Amino acid sequence: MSKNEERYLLRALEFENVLRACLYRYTRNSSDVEELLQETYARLLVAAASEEPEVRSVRGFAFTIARNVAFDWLRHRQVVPIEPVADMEALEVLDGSGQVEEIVNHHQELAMLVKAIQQLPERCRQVFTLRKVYGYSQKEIAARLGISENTVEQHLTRAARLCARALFDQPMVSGPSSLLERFRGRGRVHAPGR
Amino acid sequence: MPRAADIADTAAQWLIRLEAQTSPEVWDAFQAWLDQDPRHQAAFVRLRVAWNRVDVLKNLRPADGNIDADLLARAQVRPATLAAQGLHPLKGKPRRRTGNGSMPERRRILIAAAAITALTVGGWLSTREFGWKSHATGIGGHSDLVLQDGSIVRLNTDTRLKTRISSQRREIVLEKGEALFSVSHDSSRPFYVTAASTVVRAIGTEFSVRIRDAAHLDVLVAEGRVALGTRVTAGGLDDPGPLAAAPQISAGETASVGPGTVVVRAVPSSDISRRLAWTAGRLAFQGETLAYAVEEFNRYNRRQLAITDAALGQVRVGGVFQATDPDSFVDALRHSFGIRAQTFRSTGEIRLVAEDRTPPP
Repeated sequence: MSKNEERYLLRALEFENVLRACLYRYTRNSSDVEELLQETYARLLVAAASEEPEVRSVRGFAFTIARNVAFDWLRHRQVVPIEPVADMEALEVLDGSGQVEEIVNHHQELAMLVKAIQQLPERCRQVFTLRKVYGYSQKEIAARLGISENTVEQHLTRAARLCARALFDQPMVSGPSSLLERFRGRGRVHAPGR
Repeated sequence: MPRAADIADTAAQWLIRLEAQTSPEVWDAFQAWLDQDPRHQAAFVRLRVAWNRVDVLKNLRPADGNIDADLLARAQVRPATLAAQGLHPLKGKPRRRTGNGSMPERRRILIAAAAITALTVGGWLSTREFGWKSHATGIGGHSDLVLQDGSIVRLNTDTRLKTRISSQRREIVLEKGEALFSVSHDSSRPFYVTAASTVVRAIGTEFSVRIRDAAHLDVLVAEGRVALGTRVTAGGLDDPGPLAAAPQISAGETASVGPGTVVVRAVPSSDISRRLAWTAGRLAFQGETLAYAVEEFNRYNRRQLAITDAALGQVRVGGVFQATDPDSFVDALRHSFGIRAQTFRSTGEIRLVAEDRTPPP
């Protein structure tokens, strides 16, 4: 996995919340969004590894892949999308334009992270704090807190998943539903003939 | 087919396990798992990026060096304030005896809101590959590199370096510019940074190296300790001999290395924060001369600032600015110091002149 192969994925992580909203919008199924997102990332990695010409807009590319993933899923379930396709195209137009960029407020990142960490059980939070704030090794943490290294590992594993969730799946400023409303409104503008 | 949640869980387990032990067997098993499915890779990279980004929390460490495992339980983070203050440390917790002697007390640096904009996770699958990898930034550029050992390298403007990580050692050659190294602790693999004819050796620490010209460089240690040595042969680091007796630089010290000379001096922690402000894309001044500030801005921008009046160059300036936004700096100069700017359209040069003087023809 070279640096180049990961490039698209690293970029896509920046707008994971929008990708998630997009996948939900296509499929109307919240329980499978995680699977679809992971499949989208995997296809991004594979696509970046192939010898295809340089993708100009990773954003547009990622959303195209997400749409394909969602449509494969729909086809597999023989479900007909409820939303008219024109709306979906409009969604991509908006995404491709980068206008949703400001939705993710990077200044909130640190605060969101701390808030998420505060929801962890006490011991897990302490282990995390010693590791990530103070830079202790797992061994040092185990000795300090009088727990096994294995337990330290389990706490950190849990914390790592939480962090990824807190960083990449941040709620959008306007909230997913109203964001989708915005997409929808946009769709009408772009597809007046429908 | 495994569920996404299970894959993410396994990826997180690998991530944490590899932090603790790095035997070849563990690496092989990890490699095999990665190769099984691109979804494994995707899940792992996602977690790795998040986990490294979490290192911004280091900024919350109180400046008094206390260790408080419950720090985050009470931490109130107001990002707007943090961002506005830019480089100011948060208030430390009331001192509490922790009775811990296993870790040396470290000098804390506080760089607020250092959101990582571009993360590059390099070479995860090439653990047995011994080639060099090159990385570079252009003027005004800034990039973060996560090495496979978990160390983070932050490249400042106009910087070029190459990295080689093997099971014996971690090597960086800084060819140009400036970089901050946050080194993961791994005593089995020393971490060397070679710049010009100097070798900096570290084990678990945080320090920056800046090449001023072919013969001069600055080393700033924010955390831990590094040793300075002279490079023996062009590419060879096999003989660490000269490093054993080399001068050591501790946290809160800076070394200016010139031909045959090393000047080590202590810097206050506020100065360290200021000198590392670039990691957040900022330039921070507190009483430096305008000439110095102009020189700093010029490192980050193609549109160059110029001072023709030597007296003006000695004016002392302060403030925090975006490194790639000389215009707001020029604005601030106009408002606070009565300094005017003339832009020369042909060259794009911005010449700073005192308000009350007649501008040169």
